[in-house]
Amino acid sequence: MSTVSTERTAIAAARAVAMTKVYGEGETRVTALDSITTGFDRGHFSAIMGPSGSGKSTLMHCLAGLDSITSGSAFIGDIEINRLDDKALTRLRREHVGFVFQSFNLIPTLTALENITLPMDIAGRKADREWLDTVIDTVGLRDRLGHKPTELSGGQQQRVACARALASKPSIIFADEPTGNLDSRSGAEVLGLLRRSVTEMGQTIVMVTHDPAAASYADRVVFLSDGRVVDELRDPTQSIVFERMAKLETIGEVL
Amino acid sequence: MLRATMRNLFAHKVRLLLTGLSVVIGIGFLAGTLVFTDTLKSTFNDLVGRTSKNLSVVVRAQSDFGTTDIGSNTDRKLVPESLVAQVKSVDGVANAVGSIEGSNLLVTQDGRPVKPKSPGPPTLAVSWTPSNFGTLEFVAGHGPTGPGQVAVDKSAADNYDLRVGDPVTVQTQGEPMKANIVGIVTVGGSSNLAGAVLSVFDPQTAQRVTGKPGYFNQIDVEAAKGLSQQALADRVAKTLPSGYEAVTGKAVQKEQTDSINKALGFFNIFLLIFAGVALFVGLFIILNTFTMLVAQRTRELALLRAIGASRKQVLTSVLSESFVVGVIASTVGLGLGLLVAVGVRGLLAAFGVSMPTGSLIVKSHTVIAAYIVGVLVTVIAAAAPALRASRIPPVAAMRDGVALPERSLRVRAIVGGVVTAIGAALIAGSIRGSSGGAAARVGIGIALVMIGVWVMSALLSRPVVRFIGAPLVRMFGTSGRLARSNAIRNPRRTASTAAALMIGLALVSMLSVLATSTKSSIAAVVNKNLGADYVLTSDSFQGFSPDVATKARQTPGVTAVGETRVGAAHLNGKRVMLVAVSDNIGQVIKVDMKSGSLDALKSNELLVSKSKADSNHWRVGDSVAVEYPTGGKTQLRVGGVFDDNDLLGNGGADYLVSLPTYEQNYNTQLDAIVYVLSQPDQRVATANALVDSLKTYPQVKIQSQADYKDSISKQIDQFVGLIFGLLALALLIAVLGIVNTLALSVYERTREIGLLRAIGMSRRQLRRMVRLESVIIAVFGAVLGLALGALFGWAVVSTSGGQLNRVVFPVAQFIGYVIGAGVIGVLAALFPAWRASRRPVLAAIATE
Repeated sequence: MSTVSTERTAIAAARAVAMTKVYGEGETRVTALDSITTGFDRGHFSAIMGPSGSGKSTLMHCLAGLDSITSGSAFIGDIEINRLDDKALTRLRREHVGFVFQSFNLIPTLTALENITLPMDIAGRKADREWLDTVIDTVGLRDRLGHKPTELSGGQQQRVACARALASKPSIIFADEPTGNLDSRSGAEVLGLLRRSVTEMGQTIVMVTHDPAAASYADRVVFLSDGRVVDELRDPTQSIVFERMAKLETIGEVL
Repeated sequence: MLRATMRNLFAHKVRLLLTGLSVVIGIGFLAGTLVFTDTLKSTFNDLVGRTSKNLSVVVRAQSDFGTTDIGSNTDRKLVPESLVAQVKSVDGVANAVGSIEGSNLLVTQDGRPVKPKSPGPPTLAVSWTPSNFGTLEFVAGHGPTGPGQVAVDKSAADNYDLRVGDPVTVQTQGEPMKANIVGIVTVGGSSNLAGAVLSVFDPQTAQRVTGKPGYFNQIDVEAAKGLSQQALADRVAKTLPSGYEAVTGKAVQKEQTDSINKALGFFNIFLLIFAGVALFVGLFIILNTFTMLVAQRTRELALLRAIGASRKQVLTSVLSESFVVGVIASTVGLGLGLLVAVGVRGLLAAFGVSMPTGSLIVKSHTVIAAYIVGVLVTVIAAAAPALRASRIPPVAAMRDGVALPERSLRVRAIVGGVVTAIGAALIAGSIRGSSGGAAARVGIGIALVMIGVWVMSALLSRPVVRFIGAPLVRMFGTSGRLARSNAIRNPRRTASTAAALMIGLALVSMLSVLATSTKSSIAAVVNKNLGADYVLTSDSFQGFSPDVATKARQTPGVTAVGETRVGAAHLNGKRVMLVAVSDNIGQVIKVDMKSGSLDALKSNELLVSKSKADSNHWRVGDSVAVEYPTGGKTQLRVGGVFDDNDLLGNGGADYLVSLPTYEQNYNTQLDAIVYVLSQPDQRVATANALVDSLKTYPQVKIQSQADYKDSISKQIDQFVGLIFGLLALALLIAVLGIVNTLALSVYERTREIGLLRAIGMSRRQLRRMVRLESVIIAVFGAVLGLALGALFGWAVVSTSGGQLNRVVFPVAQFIGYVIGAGVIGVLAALFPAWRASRRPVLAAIATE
């Protein structure tokens, strides 16, 4: 047990230890995360799944330092983020975390290229030119760099968001339903892109999704229900994920 | 529908507050002005009533010179002492007392002139007898009964620590006179008379002090019991020699209240202009707020349309929201107005105007005006956004992020361009013409250019903001770049936010140009035309005894002394200011004769400035009908035409007469300005000798040419300072506008801000971004305002004619204004930036 856990610590890009998140007080008290302990490996593409209300988004928000936790600990690498103040959290996000959100991912007043380099600009760092070129070519948007977000399709916008996350070489990228607003073809493009960045560039990605097809791109799927980790799957296929989800949702209904 | 409107309104209290605040301030000032002037009117009218309680009839010289001009009563032809006994003997007269008043000055033992606390109110000498009409009440000592006795008002006694028994010097029209204080008085219950300093003498002494021995200004008559004022007036009138009249006390009271009301009316209008500017600026703020609110509520309004609300209902909904805002803001503004009135009263007290503490007068017209103006301004401002709201298609409810169709800016470009061009053409066409018509055309031109530029300002915002933002981007990197792009994101919004500041600063900078230009012109005029080495003036507007000139003449080293006196007269039926000058005026002021000669003064002829000679079509040798306040009517021959001269009479005299002419026709002989020429090689010695010989006249300032220029500059600065103080109101509203726009923008951009925070922007950077956006908007408004102000200032100076036509731009001040605008921007952003930095990061991810 102890060996496993130290091994985990050594390689986990992010992990939760007895992490609990409670919303509200008294009558309206809701336990969103119920003492979750889990980790996400470096260089892996992980997916978090679960029926709505299972706490999957909350888990991601807490792990990424976007939301506070009630008890337990959240780590990014070796850093226990729940002990950090806003300043330190901001610096942590700047240096170690990338984000891709479901919608409203880009700043409308900036061009695609400006959006991609924005995190570096905010941090006052110079972009690594060579790496930036690699990223831009990977997302395939070289001819769209000067365009404003409103001049891009939904899929293109999301690819710009991926490029922005990748460009600063974060320790971990959190993706929150990145294909939720896209048609299936654009969705597949974005997922392929995320997959390649893990395989080819060694990036670490944690993605929240409710779409079994999206989850099938991941190396590992963690299933959540009522704020607890109820299942786990390595090298998932779409049908197995679909099956497990169906089971979870039925349980949810029965309960 | 109405219920939905009200719910929506009260659900957003902060928004309501911000929107309403600009109206509140404007209405507060409006109501405050009205309440204050109504209170002043009532106080003064009350005072007039109380001070003439027992006055039944007044006997005085006839004059068809305007009686509503304040002070003209003392300028009337005098009444001989002998008439008092005659009036007294008329059947039905219980008492008749001659009274006289004029200006004088008390000087304390230690040489301090007893002056009002602020310049403006006069220092008056009045006569008193034991059978006086209850006007004055002695709170200490007794009334003056002979030469060497004087009573002063309580304010003056308090301010100068004067007590019964103290010796003072009384300045008269002749030699100064020694006296002792024998009493301290209040006037109708007030410790002074509207800020004036009173010194009270027995009739004979008062006649001596005011230089009218044997004469009175008027005879105050009290009727026997049971006799009406009119009946007595008729009886008395029958006994009077021709040229005199008997007027009822009521009629005199009415004349006095009329003249007070007329003066207060001007004061009222002066203040209301600034309330108007504030409300006009507020209009933009409300327009902007409602436009943003409608944009934010697009989906909500579309939903209402989708479930069956008609266009008209949506329109009514937004309009009634603005109506309610208007009503609430007017109510609060009215309350604020009362505070303003109390504040102004306190301010006046600090300036030495003592008023009986009565309650504030809130007349119905104040309440009505506050509500009508407040509601109208709000509803008019909300009309355009409401119309836009009613055009939202129901389908907008289903779509995400549907923006209202933005009309192209082309219409604005064309309309704004045309209006600006017409305005500019009007201005350009009137430059260098100085007739009244030109001034009016320039005024219209200025208004048109202002409107035109405002219409176009949305268009101008892109290039100007890009330019202003450039150094900020260089200095602050990403925060600066984001701030700049946010500022040009919605050109209309930026433009109308900046418009408020633009209008305020256009007025401020126009005034600055006028002030610096005037100062520079005057300095040039003084350098060119002032021959005198020393200028003697008094620091109040009142003149001083000709004895000063006499003493100056006797001072060693003085080679020439020129005197000037000022008085009103009618020339060919038109009221003008006559300036009387000694016939050696050419020695101390360079007067450039176009035709005729200065020597015409020696034969008591009239000299006219070139511009007035032209507009009246007068030439040398023409005869002009003149009428003096004392009733004298004669013909004056035009003896010469001189080039317009701004030095004569301190700011431009157009009609010059000789001193003998003045002496014959005016009761009061006081010099306004005395010019002294020294032997060239003994200037310093002469100045010292002057100080010595004028020791008894501490109120007379001895100024060298440089001092004189400085003191004129100071006067101009004081006046401009006052107007700036009043314009500060408009600037305050402009700041509120920026706060409002930023707060709503921050609210609109919640998700964007969340995203920025998520990808690593610190709270500090975020605050800086909002702050810089605010600075950019403020500086944009300032730059437009300064450009307009500079243009307007130039236009006004160029058309003002006379010698004040040097245009000087106060560059340092302009730079100061831009920096000030930046500071305003930073201050305005404090609250919105703080709000922005407190928005949760998660907001970006939460999908509504």
